[in-house]
Amino acid sequence: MNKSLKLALALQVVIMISVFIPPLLTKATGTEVYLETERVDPRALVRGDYVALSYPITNKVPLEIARKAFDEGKMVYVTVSLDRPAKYISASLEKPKITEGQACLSAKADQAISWDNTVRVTFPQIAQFFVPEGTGKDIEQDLSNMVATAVTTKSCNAVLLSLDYL
Amino acid sequence: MSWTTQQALEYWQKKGLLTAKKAQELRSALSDDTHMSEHGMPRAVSIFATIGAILVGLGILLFIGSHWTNMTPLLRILVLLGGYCTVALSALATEKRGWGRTSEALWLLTDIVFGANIMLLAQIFHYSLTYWQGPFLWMIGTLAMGYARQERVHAYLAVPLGILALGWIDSGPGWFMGGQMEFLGSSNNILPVLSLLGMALIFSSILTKTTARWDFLSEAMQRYGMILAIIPVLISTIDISIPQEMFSMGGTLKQYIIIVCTYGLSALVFWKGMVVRSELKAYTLTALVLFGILLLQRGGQSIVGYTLDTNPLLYFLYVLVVFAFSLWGVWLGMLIQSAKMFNIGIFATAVIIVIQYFSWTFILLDKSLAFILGGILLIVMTIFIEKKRRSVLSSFDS
Repeated sequence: MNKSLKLALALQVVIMISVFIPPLLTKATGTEVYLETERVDPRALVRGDYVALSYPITNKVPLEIARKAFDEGKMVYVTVSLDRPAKYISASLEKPKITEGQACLSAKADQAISWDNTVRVTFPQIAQFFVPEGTGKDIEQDLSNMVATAVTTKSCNAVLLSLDYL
Repeated sequence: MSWTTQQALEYWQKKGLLTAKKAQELRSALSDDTHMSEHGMPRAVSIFATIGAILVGLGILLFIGSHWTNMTPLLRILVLLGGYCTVALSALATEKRGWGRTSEALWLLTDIVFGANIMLLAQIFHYSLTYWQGPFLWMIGTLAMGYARQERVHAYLAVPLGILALGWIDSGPGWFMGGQMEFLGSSNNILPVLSLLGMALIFSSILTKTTARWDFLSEAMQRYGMILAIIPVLISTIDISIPQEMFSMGGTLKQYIIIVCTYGLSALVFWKGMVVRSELKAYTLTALVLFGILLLQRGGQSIVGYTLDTNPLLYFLYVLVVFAFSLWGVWLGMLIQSAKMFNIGIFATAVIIVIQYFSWTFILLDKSLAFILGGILLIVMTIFIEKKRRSVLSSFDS
């Protein structure tokens, strides 16, 4: 095996490891939050069935903050409580200082705000939940009675853990 | 036309270029055992082995994705890494046994399993649907493998992955039907700059051709580049409203980076004198100017697109310009004896004729004669183009 092949294989292995280490670290060190869910649409390119998740809590983000984030291409940081389901506390364009009983999530303002006057903010890191093949439609029926459990870090990164009934 | 060995030997003997004795010696040399073991049916073996590798890769992707509901995340990770190691070790083992073609197919399968693993790992942790880092990292790993193996097939996988990654950067969440392909239909994404992106690939292929170790990338970049450059322009000849929809830019950072990189690469290629023939230089520069003009914007709209949308006569002239540009490509392909360029020129010309035929027949829908005459015209044109294409290409080979 020549040197460049060894390097290529090593690079591929390092890349694969780099894909799963950050979420594992987030899971190990983060705080659990429970977010109410809504909306669904199954099937993803390459990766199978999924449930598209939208969170009603994002409707509480003030329009000015969402619009500013969209115009400036910035993220919105949403602070929530650790209740089940989580309650909205605040939103800002800067990373918040989290106190006891709080967690934060990175959100993105999407284009919808430019044509309809409501706030359209999504949590891209936890916007879909992959489900076993063929079960997406069933979950869709119950989605308004469900909470998504996610783990978040102090830097507002999040990983989805599960989707359960309220 | 391609020659068989037998045909070539007979032809040279007839022309007096080769004696019967020498021809026999050459024939015997080809039936030599060593030669057959090294070069016997390499193309067929390569094709079957490559298709086999792709099928196995797809099978693994679908099988794992559908059967791991009950596995823990850790077990899933181990299954994925185990699959990758098995394929890589098989590639190594076949290489050691001297099964060169099979081994290369397995190295390609290693790339496919590597990419499948990235996407499945992303699935385990519910990463975004437009997780652009996935195809990007897949491309990096594939390029590294292509560099190590010096095989072009890796480049044919890496280039579309790069385009997908570029499209998914800063794309929407990818929800709903076709959401992950939104980048090919949004004015904020790569749609308006696709032709320029194609040109950037062509210039990159010229640059990589001069470096021995990166030459494996050249052919794939050139082919994808030609297709990307020509397809959007061809589509814009379908209807008067399309140029405006297609070339109106949201003015995102990504679009400007693509534009700057394309013109930067073209400047580098011309400055280094890598395009020698003046005809090819003129053609390339014209393409750059044409694609650039189409992207001139005012108030978030393509100026050319808007003008064409409101003036049918100008739109007709625009179609004529694109048609002339395609014919120019055919002529240039013949001139520089480039089969690729000639074929793509013929393809573009034929597509424009077919599009225009259907556009006009819709206008003349009540007159069935238009269909009959048009149909005959198309059939005759197809036969003529195909005959001409074959005769020109055979003159390139011989």
